[in-house]
Amino acid sequence: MGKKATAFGTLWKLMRREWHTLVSRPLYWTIMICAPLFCYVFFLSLMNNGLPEKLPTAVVDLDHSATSRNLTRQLTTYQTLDITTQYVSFAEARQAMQQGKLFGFLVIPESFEADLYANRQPQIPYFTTSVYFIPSALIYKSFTTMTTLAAGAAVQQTLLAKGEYERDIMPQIQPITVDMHPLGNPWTNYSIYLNNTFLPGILEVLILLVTIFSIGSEVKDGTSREWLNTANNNILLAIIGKLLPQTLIFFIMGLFCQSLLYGYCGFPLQNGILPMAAAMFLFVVAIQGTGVLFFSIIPSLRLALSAGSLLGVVSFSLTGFSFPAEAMYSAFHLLTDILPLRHYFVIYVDQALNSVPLYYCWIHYFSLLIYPLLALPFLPLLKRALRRQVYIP
Amino acid sequence: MKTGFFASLKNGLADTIRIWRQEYVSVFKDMGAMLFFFVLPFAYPLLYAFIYNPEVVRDVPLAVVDNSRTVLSRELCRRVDASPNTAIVSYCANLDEAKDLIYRRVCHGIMEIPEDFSKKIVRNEQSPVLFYSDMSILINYKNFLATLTEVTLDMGKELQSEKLVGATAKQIDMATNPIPGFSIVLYNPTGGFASFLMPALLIVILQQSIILGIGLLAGGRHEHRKLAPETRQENVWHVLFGKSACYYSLYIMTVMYMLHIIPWLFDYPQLGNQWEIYIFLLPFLLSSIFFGMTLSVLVRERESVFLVIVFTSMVFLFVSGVTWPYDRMPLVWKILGGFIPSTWGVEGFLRLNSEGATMLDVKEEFYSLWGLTLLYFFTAYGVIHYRLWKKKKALSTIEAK
Repeated sequence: MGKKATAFGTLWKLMRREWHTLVSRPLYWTIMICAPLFCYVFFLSLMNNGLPEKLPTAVVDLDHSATSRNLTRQLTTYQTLDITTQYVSFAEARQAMQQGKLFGFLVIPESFEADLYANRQPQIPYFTTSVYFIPSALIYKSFTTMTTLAAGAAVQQTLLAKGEYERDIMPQIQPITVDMHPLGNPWTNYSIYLNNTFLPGILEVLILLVTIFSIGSEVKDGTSREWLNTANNNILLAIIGKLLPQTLIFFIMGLFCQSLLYGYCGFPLQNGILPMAAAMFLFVVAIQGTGVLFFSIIPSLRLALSAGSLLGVVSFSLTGFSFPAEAMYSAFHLLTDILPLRHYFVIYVDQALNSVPLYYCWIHYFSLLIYPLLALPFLPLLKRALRRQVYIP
Repeated sequence: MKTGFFASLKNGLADTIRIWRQEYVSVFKDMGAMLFFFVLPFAYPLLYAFIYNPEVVRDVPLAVVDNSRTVLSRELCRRVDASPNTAIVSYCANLDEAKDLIYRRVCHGIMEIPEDFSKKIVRNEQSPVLFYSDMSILINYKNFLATLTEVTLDMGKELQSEKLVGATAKQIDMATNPIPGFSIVLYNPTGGFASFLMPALLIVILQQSIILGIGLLAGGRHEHRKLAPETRQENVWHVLFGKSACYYSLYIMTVMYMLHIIPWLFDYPQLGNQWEIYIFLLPFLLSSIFFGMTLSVLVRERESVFLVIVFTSMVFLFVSGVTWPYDRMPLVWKILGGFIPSTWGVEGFLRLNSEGATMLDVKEEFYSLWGLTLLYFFTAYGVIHYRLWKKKKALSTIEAK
């Protein structure tokens, strides 16, 4: 009983010691609180519209007929497009594209109307610059829809003239239709797609670096022996006492992130907040575990931080939420599973987006739990480094 | 008088060159700085290039629930499977079975063909195919949508032409496709992911490597000063010119490697004139160097540069407008982005390199970068001036003791 009380007393002493450090150095609270807040505000307000609207596009009308003007007018009604007709030739429009004034344009060729009436199949070419991914995809979609509809309207006119019933026309033009159900995100909202994983990703970078930095600073400032002594030479107690206040702060920041995503922005949250909050807690602890692991193996502050930055930054690509993991080379595909962010991403997809029963993703919760355990066998190494207290610049 | 001017010029130049050389020594003696200045710009482009090297996503898995089981429904499945974008991994008996596959992440979409699929077509009614797509990865959804649209339109045209009895092939084509629209994707015709992202990423990596390296050195110097104040008095201008000359010269080879060899090795679009790109890069490098010197006022310790700078890479990448168009951002972020060299650097480099624009086309970005160079030159001057002033004060207190 008495021994237990001292363990808790030591833990409490360590936590108070850490709390003092966190509060007294502006660097800590800037990076732990201000930096995440800034990123939340930045990314959520940047993509507030869900998809970029009114993208600068042009119609190069070489025909100047009633039909071509009608087409142009119809294009102006698309929400994604902001149509201008100021360019009078292909060359001019392409030049404007290279000057960054346009993301795409459509050319209505000369004698378009005449060719159409004479059944000479006038073509409508349209150009997009896929140097910019999202604008080009959206413009491509709008232009394709437009030209398909225009062709349909022409067929409709012909069939009507032949005396077909109106109700029989659409089944002839388009016998098979696609009834698309984008599950969980029917608006194809880019913010839902990106921020649900991107913001935790940024949190990951910050947690990883702060964990490594705070442990390494003890060595650097020559306080690591004193720290170990405070912990009665118990390395496990020392680490827990040091990281627990940080866990608390980061968990609160993570919960705040989730409340912004699912509360304020109203992003899909199918299975309730509990599975996500649990994932966030495990995620924070997992990254702290990874940080401890890194510093235990590489007890040089700079190198450990470099490794941490590498893991944090590469996570954004390797997690496979932008470029799918299945499409990567198998070596990288295998690597995705060792990233904490990957497991958080899968949990988010299952629990928040797709309402998958918990049974199917227990393995990812479990995986997040492994990271802190993984650091345990390396703690003696860390202890030795802390005892030696040698700072390598 | 004249000789005095020349003498001071000569002394100044000599002093600048001395600082330049001294900075080389401190860079090459410092493993941390070497890591940022050389290893980072060497390794990161390669790593990212390999991750994204497959460029396009092929054969996204889907499951089929075919309740119709007719010739027509099987034909539809065959064509969806044959498309390069998608692949059918399983034919399920019912929707629940297919859902289970989605839960297990075996597939990312379900195509459900209703029971009356063929009947409706024979009855001359529009016949819908249902598709449920997982939205966790937008590229997968895009592949599904493109394939489904293409396949159903194609089959529709064939069904339509079957009804035109006795028509010639030309007549059928005219009747079913009176206005052939066709898309030409410029500059990145395969729509490759790496070709789109890498050029922007390269510029951001370049800038961050400069800022991190300069920050690390400045942090180290700050710590060192706390322990042992230097006694030498430096001239602000000489420090500014000497150091920036050192950093700039370090990046000549790096720029050639990152912006010429990497795109060439991985076959990214490279339409621009390489010399124009180097000229464009001149103000970009200078503004990044002075930006780094300015930011280094925030860095009090060698290692805190990681904490302060690393996470900003994501912000800088997005504010540059490579994914979300710069013109469509909220005004605040447009203004913020305007002060970051990489915003203009990415925009200009994408157009010069990927779109084959000329210097004239990117003059706005070019001038903006020179503007930033000027701005950050003066802020860097302020920072160095402040540092030297503090040093002087510290010295005088020591002397007073």
